[in-house]
Amino acid sequence: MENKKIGNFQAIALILIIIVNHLLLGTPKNLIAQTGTGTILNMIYVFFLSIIFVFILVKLFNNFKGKDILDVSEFLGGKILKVIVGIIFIVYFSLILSTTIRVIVQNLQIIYFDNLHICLLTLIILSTIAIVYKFGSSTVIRCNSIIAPIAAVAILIIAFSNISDFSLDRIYPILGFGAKELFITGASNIFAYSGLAILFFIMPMLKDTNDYKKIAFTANITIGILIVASITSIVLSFPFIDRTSNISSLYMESRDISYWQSSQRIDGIFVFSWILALLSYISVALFFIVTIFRKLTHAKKEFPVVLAFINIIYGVTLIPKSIETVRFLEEVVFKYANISLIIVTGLILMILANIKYYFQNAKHKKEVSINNAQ
Amino acid sequence: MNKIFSNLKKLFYPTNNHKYEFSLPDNDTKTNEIVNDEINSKNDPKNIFPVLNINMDFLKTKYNLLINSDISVREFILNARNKQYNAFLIYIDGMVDTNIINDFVLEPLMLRNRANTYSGDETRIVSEAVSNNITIRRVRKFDLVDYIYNSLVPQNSVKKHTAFKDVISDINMGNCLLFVDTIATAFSIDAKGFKQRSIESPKNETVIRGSQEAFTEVIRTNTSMIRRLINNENLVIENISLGKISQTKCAVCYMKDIANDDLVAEVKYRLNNLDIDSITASSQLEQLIEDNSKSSLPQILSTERPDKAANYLLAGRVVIIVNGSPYVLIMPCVFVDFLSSPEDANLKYQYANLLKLVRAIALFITLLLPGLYVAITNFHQEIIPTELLFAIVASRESVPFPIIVEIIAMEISFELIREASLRVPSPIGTTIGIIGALILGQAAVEASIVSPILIIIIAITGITSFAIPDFYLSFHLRIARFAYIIAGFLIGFLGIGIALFIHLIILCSLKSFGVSYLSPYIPKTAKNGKAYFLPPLWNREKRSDFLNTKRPYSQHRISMKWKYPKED
Repeated sequence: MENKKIGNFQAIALILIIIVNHLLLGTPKNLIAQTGTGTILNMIYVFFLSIIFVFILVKLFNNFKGKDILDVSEFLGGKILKVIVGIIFIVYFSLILSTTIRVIVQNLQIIYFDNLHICLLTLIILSTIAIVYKFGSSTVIRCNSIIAPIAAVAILIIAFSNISDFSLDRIYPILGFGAKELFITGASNIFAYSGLAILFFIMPMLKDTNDYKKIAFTANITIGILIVASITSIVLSFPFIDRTSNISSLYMESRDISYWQSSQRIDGIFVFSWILALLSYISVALFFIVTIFRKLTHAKKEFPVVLAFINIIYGVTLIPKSIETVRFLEEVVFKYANISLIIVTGLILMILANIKYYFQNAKHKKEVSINNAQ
Repeated sequence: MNKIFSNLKKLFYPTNNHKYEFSLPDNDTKTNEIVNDEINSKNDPKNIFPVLNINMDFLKTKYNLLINSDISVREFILNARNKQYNAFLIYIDGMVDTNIINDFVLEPLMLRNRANTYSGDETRIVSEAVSNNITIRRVRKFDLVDYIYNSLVPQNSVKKHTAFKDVISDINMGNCLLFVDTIATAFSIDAKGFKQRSIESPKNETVIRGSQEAFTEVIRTNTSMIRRLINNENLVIENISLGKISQTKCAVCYMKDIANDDLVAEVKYRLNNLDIDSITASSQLEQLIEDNSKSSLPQILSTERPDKAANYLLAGRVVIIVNGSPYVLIMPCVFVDFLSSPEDANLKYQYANLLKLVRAIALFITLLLPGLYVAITNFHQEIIPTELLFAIVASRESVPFPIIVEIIAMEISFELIREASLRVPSPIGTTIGIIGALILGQAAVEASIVSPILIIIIAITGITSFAIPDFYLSFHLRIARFAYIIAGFLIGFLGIGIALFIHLIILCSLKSFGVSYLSPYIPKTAKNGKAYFLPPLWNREKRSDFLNTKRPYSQHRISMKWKYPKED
């Protein structure tokens, strides 16, 4: 495999692009549906939970410098566990990617291309990714570090452009559907931080593995600011988020933005940044799928693997027959896959690996001391 | 009767209908190897003979003297130490200064004077020592080669050659070669005197507050112009000959104490590994040594300004000068270099940054405006304010063509005018501009071929394209613009987004001599005040990080010591 070492900024951008895209799609709607008007408070609460998660993760990776979750799995359960974990993550990324593409294509069709078939729209987008991968995956990562900040700034602009329409009354009742929904079941809203899944794979790619902690916390705080800002603006702008709406809530918000008399509908510009972010997101998610696959199979060439996965994703994207199925995937499958895989499985694996490392280390120390004594 | 006769004549003596035709016979040679052998035959003698006639015959054959009109051979009798030797001079007429040859070559050699008539001892005692009544003398024998070199040719630049390869190379460069009977050495006398263009003002990179000198076609004049600006012994100018036939002289210039050694080695490696017959311009060399020759994006900067070249040399870059080309090449280059004007270095940072901002806006407008117009009018009409939308619709009411046809026709017309005004003699150029503007503007609108709003779009795009300082980058943007128009026409913003993404990917994939094209932004390196926007001059303390120079600092932390004398 070619050596792809990335800088701190590029690493943060990889995490950022995932979140930006999920924010642009259905995530804010799903978050608000869970906790109602208390979502702002819930998001602050979830932000602190995510900080704890990142803190634990960084601590757990301390004994595995320069290794990713696959290497850790191999250490824990041999090659079999490595393959199992790899396949699980490939399936996870492919599923998330397919769902995201389908949602975006569905949204684009509703907004602009009602005459174009979904198959064709999906094909156009995935063909672009295939062309892009002709230039190599390191180029994709570099390009993402341009697009991710632009997309993040675009979200912040959208979030605060409607500040004149904000009404503080809309945060009441401040606890939303209740304290239990806010702090107990609402903790599941941590799925919004799904981009942190990248942290399981990023370590071997870093130029300096000592920067892992810095990257993880910087990314987490940036994501937190973005999520809280966008959720706050949506909650304060709309009296009621229609959960049955087929279009992204941030897009709905952008439709209300007007700058003076001359620019009253700038949502098209929003779509423009959205497309760039989407293409970058697909490339990045595909990069991780391909990286995991190549690590499992030791495939030498990258492009054929990319083409194979593009075909698979194309097929999976077209499987859902209706918008309802897509919405179910987005709201339920995406949410619980995130929680169960990243938070539960990932952390459990890391904890078990650390325990094994501790015992191995202790045993080794004991052997060394016996040898020294002899 | 006459008619009958003429018809009969035609019947029995048909007129010759054979037309004169010429076509080149098929070339039997399939490879370039044989052709090369004819030029530099392996059977040619390598070294000069001590017999004059053999040398002369060989050179006469080599230069096809019977049919070549500008090769001159002057035979004469050379006087040395009161002896006479047959000799000849060979040179290319028009490339040498005949006065120099007459006064400083032929006269001292032919006419009898003190130097050549002195018939002292044949041998000269260098040192003498007496030991045990035996005198030991160290004697230096008379050497005609040294004698001619030291005493008879009063020239500052004379080289001794023993190989025909060097002799031929020097004759081709405009030197005068002296052959003398009995010695197997030729003297290459620098008597160049061809007509050359004098130093003029830059034509394409004009500045208001800056040097008004431009490079010329002569390599030595160009190197001297750089030397005059960088008065430092660490400026190295290495000569390399390129092209098997043309043997074009090139100079690789760099600051020995600043430029990265690997970079210099890479430049020399690429130059030394070019298997090509000829190079006549720096732009040809540029295409041969750039990293990605398939990309339309420029990866090497070219300039006609010595001050710009000097500035880049001092920044740690490498400059290549090609003999015969008034443009020098600067490498490695990053994207922001192509958006920088030589004026930026002469202006206060506030002024320079304003101009840079304008250029950045111009870049986006010239690249995206026509495509965005097509996309907005076809797919995203809601972006346009209602009043403007009505105005556009009203202006297009009488136009029978779809927008894509309109805009592509106008773009092609604009390119045609630009090309035509460049190719015609300059007095007619302005006329073409006026005719073009009239036809394309007023007449086309009145004839309802295009809408007035489109004229404005094309005009703005055209004007902004002229704000791009680099000619090659401007060309690239012109090509890319068509791709954006088509993408916008097909699927609106989605198409433009896709095109922009691919464009960004191409930019990210490029490298110039090992340096990422989007440095110092992607990958992010320390900008050190050398990014797109400029800090104040006193704050440009470090050289660009991506160049990994030997001297990272270009000035002291406190450069204005008169102002802060106590600061370290």
